[in-house]
Amino acid sequence: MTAHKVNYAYFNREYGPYLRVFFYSPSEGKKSPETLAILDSGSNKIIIPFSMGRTINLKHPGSLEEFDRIHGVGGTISFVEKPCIIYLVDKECGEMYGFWINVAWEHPYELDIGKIEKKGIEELNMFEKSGVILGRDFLNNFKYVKFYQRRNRGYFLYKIKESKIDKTNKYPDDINKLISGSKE
Amino acid sequence: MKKTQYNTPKNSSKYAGEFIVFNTEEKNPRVRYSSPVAKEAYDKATEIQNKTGKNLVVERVPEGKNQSSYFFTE
Repeated sequence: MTAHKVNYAYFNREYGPYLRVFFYSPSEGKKSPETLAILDSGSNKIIIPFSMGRTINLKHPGSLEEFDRIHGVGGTISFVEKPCIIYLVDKECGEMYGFWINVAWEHPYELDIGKIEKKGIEELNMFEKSGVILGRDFLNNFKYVKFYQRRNRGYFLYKIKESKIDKTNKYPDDINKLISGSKE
Repeated sequence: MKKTQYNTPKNSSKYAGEFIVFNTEEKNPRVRYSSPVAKEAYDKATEIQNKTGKNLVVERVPEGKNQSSYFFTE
């Protein structure tokens, strides 16, 4: 597995370490749109916003499932843990690497789906604020990650542990198979 | 060693609170679509992808300057 050097991306007036990912639910045959997710070694979870979970048809939590809370600088959010595959896009190699993983799905702490559907945009967007955060649960899939600066520019290096990869697919050719809903 | 660079729209901050759709492969990506509604942006990205074959990225522009950082669970 080759090492990768990634330039910090400039987004919303700040530079940051981003990776291009998407989420996939094999049981539903649903793929999320691609997004730039920030690497955050301070977070212990992979956090996905409410809408991202909806696009891959994550099941709303049942009455026996436990909500949990995450505290941070941005405040407190409620979430429920759900399994799915996160794909890391490696355009340079023409591949995408899938990792089966539990994500912390931001969820409005509400079991009544009807009530959720009636919530307004502003209220629902309260569960979008974190964006996609790749915490230590994701960094555990790497042999190493190194953040550094050179001439006032930020970079990071990473190398994936091959043994942690659950699926390797061609990018972008195999995406159509996922979109067409090839359930596994 | 492989080198990667993701390009983003320079004027993204004016879309604070909205979901924007853009192509990270363009040198100076333009915002193809924006909406405060996540589903609309996701659907648009899929629509453009189906039409052009280009894989676009959807990103929500945070209202604040700093992205939230989350530390620990209970």
